[in-house]
This record gives sequence, C-alpha cells and structure tokens, in this order.
Amino acid sequence: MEHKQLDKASLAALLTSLMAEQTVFAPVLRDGVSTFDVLADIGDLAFPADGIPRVAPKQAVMPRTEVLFYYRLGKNTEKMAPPPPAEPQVLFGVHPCDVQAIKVLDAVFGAEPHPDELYLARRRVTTVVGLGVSQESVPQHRFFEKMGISSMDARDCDLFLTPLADETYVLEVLTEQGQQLLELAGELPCADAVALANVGKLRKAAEERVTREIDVDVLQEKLSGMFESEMWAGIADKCVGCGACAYLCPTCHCFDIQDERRGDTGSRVRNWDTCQFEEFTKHASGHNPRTSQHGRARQRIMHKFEYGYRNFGIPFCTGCGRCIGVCPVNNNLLTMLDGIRKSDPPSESDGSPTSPDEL
Amino acid sequence: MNPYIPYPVVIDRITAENDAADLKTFRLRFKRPEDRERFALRCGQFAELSLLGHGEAPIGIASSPLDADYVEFTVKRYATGVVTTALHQSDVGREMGLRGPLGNGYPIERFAGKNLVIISGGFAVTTLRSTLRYLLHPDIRDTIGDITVVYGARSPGELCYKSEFLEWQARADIAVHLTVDKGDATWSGREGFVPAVVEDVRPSAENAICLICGPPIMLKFTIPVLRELGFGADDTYLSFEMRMKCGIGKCGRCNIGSRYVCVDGPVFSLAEVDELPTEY
Repeated sequence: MEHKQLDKASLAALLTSLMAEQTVFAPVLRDGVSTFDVLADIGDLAFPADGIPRVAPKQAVMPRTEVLFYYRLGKNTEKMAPPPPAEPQVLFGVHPCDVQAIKVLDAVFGAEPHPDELYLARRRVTTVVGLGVSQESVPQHRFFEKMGISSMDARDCDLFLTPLADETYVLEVLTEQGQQLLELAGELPCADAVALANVGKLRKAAEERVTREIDVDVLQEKLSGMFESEMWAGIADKCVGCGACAYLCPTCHCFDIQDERRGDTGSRVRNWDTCQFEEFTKHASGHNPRTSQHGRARQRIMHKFEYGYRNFGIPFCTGCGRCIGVCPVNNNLLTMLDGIRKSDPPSESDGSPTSPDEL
Repeated sequence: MNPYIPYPVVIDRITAENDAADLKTFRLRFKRPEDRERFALRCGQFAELSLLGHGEAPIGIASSPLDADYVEFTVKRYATGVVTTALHQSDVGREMGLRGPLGNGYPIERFAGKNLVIISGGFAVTTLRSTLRYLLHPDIRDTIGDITVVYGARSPGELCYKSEFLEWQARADIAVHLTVDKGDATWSGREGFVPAVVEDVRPSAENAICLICGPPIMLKFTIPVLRELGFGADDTYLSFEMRMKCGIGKCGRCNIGSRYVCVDGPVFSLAEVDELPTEY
C-alpha cells in the first residue's frame, strides 16, 4: 500500500480538512487529563509521550451514554423513534494496543445471534488512524509488549501514522476506507526512501521489544481451575470497589439501560456500567449471585483472561496498564497475572486428608 | 435493525393469578399483526417487557407458540421492581413494548417419542405452562409419550393457572400431581414439598426428559431425587433467572462463567450446569 509523507504544516492541513468533513477524535488534554476525545481545535492535539491517553478511544465507539431510541408518551400510548444514523468519524492517533481493544469490542458487539447494529453502524463509519510510538522505555505499568503487541503494530488500522525524529510523519495507507479518507485532504507527497527506511527501523526495534512473556493460553488453563482460589479474597481485601479500573479499561464494555424521561418525552439510553458494583447483578427479588467484592474482583479477571478468551479467542486485555495506573489501592494486574501463572494446578483430591500433616 | 426498539403491543387482558394479587398474567396483542410472525417463539424463551419511562424487565413467556394471536406473561410485582410495579398498575388497553423472543428455550426438537416429566414450584411454572399448552395441543400430543407433572405452591391460593391445571388433572393423557406446602378448607389435594412428592410419584427415567424450574431451594432438594431415579444429566433441563438488561449477550450482566444466560440459556442441561461455577 501507499506511504505518504507529511510535515507539521501538512499534518495540520490534513486534520483541518478532516475536521471540516467529519468528527475527529484524537488525544487532547481535558482539564489537564490526557483524553481521547473530540478534537475541536488543532492546537488541542496532544499525543502523550507513550501514545496512551488516560481516557481510552473506547468512548468514541461506545459512548459513555448513548441513546438507543427516543420516545413520546400519550394517554395509554407510546411512540418510539430511532436515533439519527451515525455520522462518519475519524479516530486519529490510536495506540496499537487501543486498536486491539477496539477489536475486542467489535467481537462482542458483532457476535451472533444478535449483532448490535447500533454499535456496528457507528463502527462502519469510523476510520481508525493508528499511531506508531517509538519511545523505547515504556512506563513500568504498561505491558502490551508482554501481551504480544508492538508499539508500531499497524494491524487492523485504516491508516497508520508514525512520527519521525525530524518532526516529519509517515502515513501508511492500509485499507480502502483509509484511502477514501485521505482523498478528502487532496494530494499528499509519497514518502521518500529515507523516511521509509526510518519507519522500518523503528518497526523492527519495536518488534524486538515484544517479549510475549504473558501466555494467555497458560493463564486461561490456570484460571479455569481457580474459581475457588483464595487469591481473590487477597485482591478483594484491598479493593474499594470504585470501578475505576473498568471505566478506564479500553475493553470493558458492560452497560446499563435506563429510561430518561422529561414530561411526555424521553429516551432509553445505555450507560457504561461495571461488574465491580454490587447492584450490577442484584435481582429485583433481592437475590444477588455475586454479593462479595471477592466475587466481583474474580469476575473481572476471569472475564478478561478465561471467559472472554474462551468465547472469542482474544484476550479481553491489551496490556495498556491503565487499571494499574489508576487503582487507588495499588492493586496490580501484572502482579495478579504473575500469581496466577505461578499458582499450583487445581488439586484433584476430594478434600480429604492425604497425609498426617493435613489432619 | 436497532435491536433495542421493542415491538409495540397492547395489553388485552389481565388475570390475577394468586390471592395476594402480586402475580398477574398479561395477555399482549401486537399492534402490527406482522410482528406476531416475527416474534417466532419457542417454549422456554423470554422477552423484555418495556414500559417507556420505567424501563424493561426480562420475563419468561407463559403462552404457547401455538397461541397464534397473542403472547402472555405472568409477572410478579416486587416492591423494588420499577417495571413490575408499573405494569401491575396498568390497565387493559395500555400500549407497551415487547422485545424478543430471547434465549434458547427448551429442547423441543428432542421431545418426539419421549416421555416428559415436568417439575415446578411457585410462579417459576410460567415457561413450563407454555410448554404444557404446547404439548397438549392436538397436533403435538400424539407425537410424544407419557407426560407427568409435579407442580407445587406454598398454598392453594398461590397456585398459578389453577383452573387450567385442574382441567389437565382431569384428563387421561397427562398425570398432574398438584401439591401445596400447607392446604386449607378448600384443598383436598396433596400437601408436601415438591421434592417429597417427586420421590413419592417416582416418575420413570426410562426414555424420559425432565424439565425443572423452581426456586433454588426446590432445585437443591429435587435434583438429587431425580439423579437417584436415574434421570441423566443430559436429559434433565433447568431454566435460570438472572438480572438482565440487553438480553442479547452484550451488557455482561447475566454471565455465569463463560455462558450468557440470556443467549446460551436460560435453559441449560444439568450436565451443563454441573460445569458452571456456582455463581447463580
């Protein structure tokens, strides 16, 4: 596929023309917090040093609050109307690990027998521009390289932008949708041999940093026997149940559905929710199958590395490390995964003592 | 198609099912007749009942797939249940919404030539009432073997679909054993809990499929009886209840292990249940 070359001015010109045609989401600072959000002014664009904003691109494909439909009530009557169709949008500068997180959402919302057409319609008009990151030492809590993702990985992107040391950029065109988006911006020069060689070097160096230390097959097998493990109580002892890990997680996708009504009109909306809250599973009868934080902490890990992986063949974790960075009590997913990896295989005994020491 | 927009329906009939009047059956008719055909249900499926401004609640379908013009739901009102309370306050003629049918349903394709044992307690009987109405339909009845039913409630006044069950009890082609925890002056039938009645009735496991739906305590004590009677874990089916929102396997609320109760269930064989973590 084609490679285009841009300098600062032509990158700004490209963004200006995209913003004129579509909603552009990109890393910006919101009240000092790095957030993947609507780019209103080119001056707001602020790539974080490691390419991973605190608030993930998830909210561009799965809004925090989304109208499922609008309604109007009469005396004994109800009228419903769907939300307007999704408008084309660009996610500009998505770190490769966040691109893989969107693949997780695609798998869940696209799953048969009930594909979520509301999600899929927005996704179809979303163009993903990945961001190559050449930073050599990533912060300690990021572990996407251990999960097998390179910071220069262009998989599943429509376009892929790599900033080079001389403040120029190479933009790889990877799909037809990417090509069409670029046509909105007019002619761009092709990348020269030196720039291409530089991208190649960065990609090779990034791939060499990918250790794949975390073997999800091993984790899944271990976890399948760990439902009753004492490890969960250890994690839950510290957990305050704030759910911040799930809200910042780029793959967590659980939601609630609520009716918002004002007089005779209203909307049914879905809002981000999390399995970390007690109410999440509580029946109207009062019965709750998951009453303890211990069970909720377990659910989060199990869903990511056992259940989700079993159902969809991809781990529901990309190693972005946001949950580690945000946890108020320093619960550390990497440490937990290490504990799971090193845990003993589930015992085959029936629980009766097998040696005098156990009596 | 937006999977969250319900079919518009109208409440056509409301029947109180128990003395406490906190159980009512709502008969719903589709505003657009073609929606009834789209709503191609199987016994054991559920649907989201929608009241705009209040929300949705997942409720098992109580009518038969062969009840061609309408769909019925028996709904328990809970003090904390926003939708069930609003529904109980509704009158005939009110418009509301219906989203579904959802879930897998009972394995009716396995029923041909089999004997069926159907066990239920309390108002969990709803989807089994759907199944019984289906099985007793003249076109279906001859395709299956014996039908044995054990249905229990706390008191005679808490028995759902009472006149229907009494009618079935009088028929020769189905054995219906009704029981109450404690009888009253009106009650001349059995007294006793469902597990004990099953033990007493001793339905044969030979060439049989068992469907069981009831409160956890009933399941806990009935399942060992069934195992002892020789019902195989692959031939015994349970129906689960979980809190649900989307009903289509997305919102993450009804997971038990890797299974989604809303899509993979609500009906699971006992063999499948034995594989699930005990988080229900």
